[in-house]
Amino acid sequence: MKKSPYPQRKKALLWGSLALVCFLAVLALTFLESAPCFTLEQAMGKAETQNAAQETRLLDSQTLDNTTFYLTGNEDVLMVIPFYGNPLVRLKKLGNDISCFDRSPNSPAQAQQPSRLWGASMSLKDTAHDRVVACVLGTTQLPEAASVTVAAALASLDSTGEEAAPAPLWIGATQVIDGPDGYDYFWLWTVLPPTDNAHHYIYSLTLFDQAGKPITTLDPEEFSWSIQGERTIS
Amino acid sequence: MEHSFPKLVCQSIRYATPKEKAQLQAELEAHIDDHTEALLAAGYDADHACQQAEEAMGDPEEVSKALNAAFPRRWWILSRLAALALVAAVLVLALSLPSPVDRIHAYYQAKYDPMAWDWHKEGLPEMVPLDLKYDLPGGNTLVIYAAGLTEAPEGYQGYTAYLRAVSYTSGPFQYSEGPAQYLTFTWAAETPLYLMPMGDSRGCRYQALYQLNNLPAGTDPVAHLDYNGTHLTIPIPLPWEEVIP
Repeated sequence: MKKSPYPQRKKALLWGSLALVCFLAVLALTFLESAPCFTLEQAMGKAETQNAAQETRLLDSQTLDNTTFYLTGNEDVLMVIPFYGNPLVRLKKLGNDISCFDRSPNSPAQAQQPSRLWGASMSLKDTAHDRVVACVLGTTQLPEAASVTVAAALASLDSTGEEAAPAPLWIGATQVIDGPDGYDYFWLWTVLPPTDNAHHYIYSLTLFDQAGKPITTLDPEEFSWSIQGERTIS
Repeated sequence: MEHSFPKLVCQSIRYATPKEKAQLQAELEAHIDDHTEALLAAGYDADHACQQAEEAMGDPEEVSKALNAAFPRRWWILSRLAALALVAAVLVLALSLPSPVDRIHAYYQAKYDPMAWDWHKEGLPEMVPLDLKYDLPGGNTLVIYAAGLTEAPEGYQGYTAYLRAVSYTSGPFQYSEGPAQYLTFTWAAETPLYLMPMGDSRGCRYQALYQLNNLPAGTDPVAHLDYNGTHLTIPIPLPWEEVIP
């Protein structure tokens, strides 16, 4: 090998290479620790591991701004997996942002009732645009169910700590879709104004048949923790 | 012997470190010494031989010009930047290491020696090992690995049981919510009782310590896991022989 005419070049190259190796090691560790997902399949696998859920399949997707939300599910769970358009954001996020909803019956009595309406809601704070992106999703096994309306309202506690009358915010409607896992599902997205600590959103669902006749409703009180709720139809 | 030529040459090299200058100086000195020795062997007297050897090296200004070209500013700057980058990279690496090392350690401890995890909790009875291991979806594993019994503390009746459970993923760099924290229990009541455990999460594993109060003597509780479609019913054999003679 030809000897370099510049003694300091050897030093610069050696130190630079060592620095590069160290930075690559840091990158590899970060990569291992945050386990970024580059494909939807990877994201679904990660969500299933995270929530100890059986394999899910893709049901639907919704793109908001630069983020696509995928609805995946199996017989027991529905998951909403955000997938960011910006690959750099994807490196950092995905994991804590996954929402998993267990729709399996939580009692033998419920399990024996094949026709039930189950709903869940999630709110994502979008501080960049001073808004909340809300999603209401649910399932039903009622064969006659054709569409659903979702009503969102803003509830608050008055000065005595009592729940004040909720202020209606939004009503939306969507079709109930035939699912591959023995139930029909729906999901609906909307943008709501942000809330403070004294206020929170409440939702109610109404299920309609083909003729537009209401079949059943799911009231705010039936959304346990304001997140999930269900009604068994006898 | 000390010569003036190497000093003169090295003083005028701008972009070399003191160590490099010292090396160069030693090299030049050695060269002149060799030449001087050769001249002495050829019959020159000492002063003349030394002077002749230094003159043979040429004009110090010309030599230092040539050497300056071998130490250009760009490589001086680049070598220093590379050194800075190396220091920064080593620092970042050192700061990045504890977390993955801790995860790897926590993972293999949970998998092969979960009892080694110390709860730093006083009053825990001696734990008897159990081996109740269940594979969960998504590559997760749940193990209820130890149980202990003690007489109920003040304010409680009967006995208090402690259960140690751990759940872990299929690798140290996976993440799971930790199904071990979602166990419920039945012994007398029909409705499963959720008892919030003491917990410790490392992403890839979740260690849980459950405290079951008011157990009647000789009663074995049943643990349940109803989580995202998994439904397990696990009878827990408590070491009653340890507390009831």
